[in-house]
Amino acid sequence: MTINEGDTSWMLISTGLVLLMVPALGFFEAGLIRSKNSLSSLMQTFSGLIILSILWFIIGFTLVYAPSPSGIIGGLKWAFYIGVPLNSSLDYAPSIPGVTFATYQMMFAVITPLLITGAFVGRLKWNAFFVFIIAWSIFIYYPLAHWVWGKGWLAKLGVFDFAGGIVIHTSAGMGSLGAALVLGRRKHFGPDIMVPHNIPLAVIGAGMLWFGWFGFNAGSALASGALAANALLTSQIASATAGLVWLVLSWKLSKKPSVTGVITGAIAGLAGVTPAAGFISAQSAFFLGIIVGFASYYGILLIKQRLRIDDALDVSSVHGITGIIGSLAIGIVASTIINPSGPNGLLYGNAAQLGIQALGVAVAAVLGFGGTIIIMKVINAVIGLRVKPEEEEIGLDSTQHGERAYGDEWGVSV
Amino acid sequence: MKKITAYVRSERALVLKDQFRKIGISAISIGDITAWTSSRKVTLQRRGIPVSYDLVHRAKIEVYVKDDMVDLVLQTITDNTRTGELGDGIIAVSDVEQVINISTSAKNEDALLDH
Repeated sequence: MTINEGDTSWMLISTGLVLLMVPALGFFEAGLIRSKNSLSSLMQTFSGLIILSILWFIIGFTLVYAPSPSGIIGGLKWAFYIGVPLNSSLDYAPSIPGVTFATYQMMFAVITPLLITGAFVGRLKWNAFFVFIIAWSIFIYYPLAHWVWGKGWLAKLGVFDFAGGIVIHTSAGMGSLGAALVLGRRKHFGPDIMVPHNIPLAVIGAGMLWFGWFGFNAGSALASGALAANALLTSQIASATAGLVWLVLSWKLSKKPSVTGVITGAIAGLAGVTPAAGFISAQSAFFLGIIVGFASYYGILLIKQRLRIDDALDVSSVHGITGIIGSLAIGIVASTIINPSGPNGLLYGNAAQLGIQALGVAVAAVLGFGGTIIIMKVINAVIGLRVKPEEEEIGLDSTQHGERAYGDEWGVSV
Repeated sequence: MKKITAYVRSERALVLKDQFRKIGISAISIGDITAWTSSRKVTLQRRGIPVSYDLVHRAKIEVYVKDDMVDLVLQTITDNTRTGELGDGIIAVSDVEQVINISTSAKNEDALLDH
């Protein structure tokens, strides 16, 4: 099919928007943790951007999107991007250049494993991180993305995931839970070590994430037009309603509306609407945002407070629980009026879709949780996961990277 | 009444705070300071190139105690901050003439309760 210039423009911009989410995630995390570990989170996200871009170029794109007879993993015909068309399209996105589709999807492959860095805070060795994101991409993300988006076996069963609720948020969210369990709690786990050192930085990060999410969700239409417009609108509405729920709940519990709460709620809403953004109406997104707002807030109370699992930045709740709910919501409120290529849900006469979505979610949750635990345990046995206890107390910035986030007025000191 | 001033590794301040609570100290102050000693250098890096610095971050902890608490407090500080490496810092003990609790107007040992 001919390349459409309008569609190509939107997809080039969307690629940049999703790229921006990677440093945004770093700022969001860095602001919410203590300064002595802030560079380590920024380093994980930024170095992850570099490593995972290369990995996608060499082997990732072909393993996810090249045709496969089995439906288990893609072939090798597009390894090193060789043969990916520049002047014509792939049938995944018929109106944009093949390389634009491949590079837009690169950004998703980059950010997905990096979501788990929120669980790593303050105790993971950088070399263990390096091995982890490569292994996690090859053994979890690439197969799962192939199954759902690369015409694999889950896609053939009719599982739908618009922008990554199953492939991205469920797998990374449940992966974070597994990672936190294998890593164990940070030393002195409690309020003393959970001091956000720069909340304005976290607000900048959250704002940039929200902005970038328009490329993530509306870009997943893979073209400009009405479908992209709907995805952008549903994203905005669900984010706002989830943010409002968090604002009210924090106000109720702490007697004061919380800044870190309202930004977390907005991110939870965006994660929740991601799988459904291109299948549901703005009216449905309004209520989806409310539900994921409650679920993520009480998820944190359960996982962090009650069970005392140290998923430091609550990825399991903010991305995992929300991603699961949003993916199931497709099975309830999706409508072919919104997207003729998508499914109808329960409320539109197709009850079976809910079961199909539940299967997709279950596969991603099991693979994300179990696969992460296995990868983490293997890395722990071979090179070790955690820094030494004294290094953990001093902080990862100076002990792992030989740098500190902030200098003094009269010069740099350590 | 004594004032104990300790210059310790910043990363041990959290642990020390909890230990002080256990031995019955009701209040301390912790300052984030920059220290310099003639013999000490730390190597970090800047833009991928190694650089040595001789200014280091430390915590300055001040605590006012009754005379009979001094030995226990000194022991608590050394037990919880010593690594045996150079750079563990020093502790100074000095006499105090008066302590006044601003909110209750209590003086000296009484002033140390919940100020």
